[in-house]
Amino acid sequence: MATQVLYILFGGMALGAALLAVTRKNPVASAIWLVVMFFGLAATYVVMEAFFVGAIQILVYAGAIMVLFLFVIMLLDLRQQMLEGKPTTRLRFFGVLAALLFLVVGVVALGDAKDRGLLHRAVTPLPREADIVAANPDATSLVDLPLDGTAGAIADEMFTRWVLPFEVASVILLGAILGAVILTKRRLT
Amino acid sequence: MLAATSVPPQLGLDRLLPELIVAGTGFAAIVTELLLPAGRRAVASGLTAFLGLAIALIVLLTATPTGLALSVHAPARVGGVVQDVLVTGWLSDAFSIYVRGTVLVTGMLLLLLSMRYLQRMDRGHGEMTALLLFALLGVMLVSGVQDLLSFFVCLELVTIMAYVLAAFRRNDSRSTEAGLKYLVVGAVSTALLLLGIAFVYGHAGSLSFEAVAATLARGEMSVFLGLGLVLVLVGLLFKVGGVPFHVWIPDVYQGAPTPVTAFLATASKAAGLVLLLRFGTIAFVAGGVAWVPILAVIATATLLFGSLGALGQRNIKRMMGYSGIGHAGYLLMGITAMASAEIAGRAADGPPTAILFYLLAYALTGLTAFAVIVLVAGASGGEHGGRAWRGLWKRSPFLAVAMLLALLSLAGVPPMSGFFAKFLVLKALVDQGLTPLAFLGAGAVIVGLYFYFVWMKEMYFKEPDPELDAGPIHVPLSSRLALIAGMIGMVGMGVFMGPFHTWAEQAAAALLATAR
Repeated sequence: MATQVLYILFGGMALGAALLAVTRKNPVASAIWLVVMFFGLAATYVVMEAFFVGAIQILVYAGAIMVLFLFVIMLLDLRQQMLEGKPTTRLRFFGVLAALLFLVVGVVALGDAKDRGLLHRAVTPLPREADIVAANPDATSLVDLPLDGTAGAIADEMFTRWVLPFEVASVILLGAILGAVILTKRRLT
Repeated sequence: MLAATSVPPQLGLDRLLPELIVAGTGFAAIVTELLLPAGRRAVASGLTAFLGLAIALIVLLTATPTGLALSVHAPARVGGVVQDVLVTGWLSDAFSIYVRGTVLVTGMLLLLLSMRYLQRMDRGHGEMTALLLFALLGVMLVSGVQDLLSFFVCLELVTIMAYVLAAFRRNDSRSTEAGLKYLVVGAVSTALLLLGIAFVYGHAGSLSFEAVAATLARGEMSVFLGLGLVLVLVGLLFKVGGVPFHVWIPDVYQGAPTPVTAFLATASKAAGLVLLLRFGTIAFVAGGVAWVPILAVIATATLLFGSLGALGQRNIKRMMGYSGIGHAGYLLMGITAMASAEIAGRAADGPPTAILFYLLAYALTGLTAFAVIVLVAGASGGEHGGRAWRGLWKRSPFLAVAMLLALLSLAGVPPMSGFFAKFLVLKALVDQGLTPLAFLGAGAVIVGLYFYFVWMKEMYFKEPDPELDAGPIHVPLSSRLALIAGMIGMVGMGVFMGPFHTWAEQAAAALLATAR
C-alpha cells in the first residue's frame, strides 16, 4: 500500500513537471521543470525496486544531459528571445484536436484493457532482499547474491541475452561521435 | 510448445561474419582519415570500404551458414501462459541472405558512384564512408532480427547515421536544412515506433517476435495491442515514405549530398520494407486490425501522390524523390497483397517475392540514375535543374544511354527489370483478388511514362545550355564501372529474370516459413 501511494505521488510529480516543462515560455524554467521530471521518474524506478536504473537516471539525465541543456541555453542566451508570437488559430485547432483524439484513444484503450483483465495480471513479485540473503547463507559479499534491480542483474541481461542490441548501440554511439565532430568542429584540416 | 523443450543458446558468430566484416571496414575507413595525407584520403577510404563490402559479399554467398546466432530460448509469459520461446537472436536464413546480398551490392555501387563526390570534398572522406558503412550495416542487421529490441536498435543505426549524412555538407544551407528536417520528422516517427513497441510489449509480455506472433495467433486482441501494431506500422511508413508520412522526402532528397540521396532512396527504404515484411508475417492475422483497407488506402494515396507530384518537377533530385514515393506506393501495394493473403490464411509466396525482386531491381536502377546525376551535376557547377540536362546526348552519349535505360526501368518499360518488378506486384494483387488496386497501379505507370519522358526529351532533343560550361563530361573509372554494372543488372534482371525470381522466391518462402 505504501509503495502504491509513493508510486502515485512520484508518478504524478513526474507528469505534472513534464506538463510544466512543455508549457513554460521561458526556456530556463522549462529546463528546470525537466530536472524535476527526471527526479520524479527516478523515484518511480526506485519504488519499483529498480535501484540501479534509478541511480543511472539521476546521474545521466538529471546530471549530464541537463547540464548540457543548460549550457546550450546559456550559450545561446535564449532568455532574451522567449517563444514569441502566438500560435495561429489553425495550429491551435489541430493541437486541441490531436490532444482530444489522444485522450479518447487512451481512455478507450484503458477501458478495454480493464475489461480484459489486463491491468490486474498476476505478476510474480520480486524476491525481497532479506529473503535472498537468508537463502544464500554462504555468500560473503553482496556481489554473490542474485539480487534483482542491481547493477549485476542489469549487466547479466545486457551482456548475455541482449548482447546484439548492446553492440549495435555502441556502433550508433561511435557514429554519433563522428557526426558531432564532422558537423560542429570549426576546422578539420 | 510448453516449457518442455529446452534449446541451448547459440553463439554462432560465423552467421554474422559479413556484418562483422562490414563493421570492421567501417573502423578501418575512420583510420585511413587519420593516417593518410589529405590528397589520398578520398581514394583510400572509398577503396577500403569497397573492398570490405566485396569481401563481405563473397563471404556471405560462400561461407555463411544458415541458422540462429546469439539466440536465447527461455520461458516467457505469452498472454498469461508460460511458453518456451525464442526470446532474442539473429536469424540467418534465405530471406536474410537475399536482403544482405542486395544491401552489399547496393553498397558497392554506392561507393563507386560516391568516389567522384568524395574526391571533390575537402574534408571528412573517412567519416563519410564510415557512416555510410555503418548505415549499410544497420540495413543488413534488420534482415535477421527476432525481437522488438534488436528491431528498434538496428533500425535506429540506419536512421541516426542518415541524419548525419544528410547534413554532411554543413556549409550548404540546403544540406543542413535537409538534415534538420530529417532529424525532426525522424525523431517523431521514432517516438511513435517506440510507443507502439511499448504497447505491444505491454500486452504480449515479451519482446520476442515468436511470443508476439503466438499471442496474435491465439486470437488475443486488445485496443492497446492493435494500437501498438498500428504505431509500429506508422514508424515504418516514415522510413519507407508512405503517405501521409512522406512530407520529408522531396526536401531531404533535394538537399542531401547526392550519394546520400541515393542511399536514402535505395538501402534506407529497403530497411523499412524488410521490417514491414517481417512485421507482416507476425501482425497480419484475422480478427485484429483491419489491415487490408488501411494498407490499400495508404498504398493508393502514396502511389497517386508520388506519380502526380513528380509531374511538374524541374529539379532532378526532387523528381527522384517524388518518383521514389511512387515506387514506395507499388511496394506498399505488395504489402497490401501480402496482408490479404496472410489474413485469409493462404500461404502465398507471390507478394513477398514481388517485393524482394522489386527491391533489388529498384536498387540497381536508382543507383544507375544517381550515378549519372552525380556526374552531370558535377560537370554543371552543382546544377540539378533541367538546363543541366539539356543536350546530354551531345555532351556524353554514354551517360545519356545509362540515364535513358534507368528512366525506362523506373517507368517500367519492358524488357527492363523495372517492368518485371511492377508486373510481379500487379500479378500478386490480381492473385489476391485486389484487381482495382492493380488497375490503379497500371494507370500510374502511364503517368510515370510522361514525367520520365520529359527528362528524356531534355537529354536527347535539346541543345546544351550555352550559359553552362557545356563541354563533354569526363566519366571517371569508378563511375564507369558503377554505370556498366548497373546497366548490366537492369537489363539482365529483365531479360534473364528466371534466376533472380527463383532466388527471391526462395527468400520469400524462408520468410513465410519462420512465421509458421
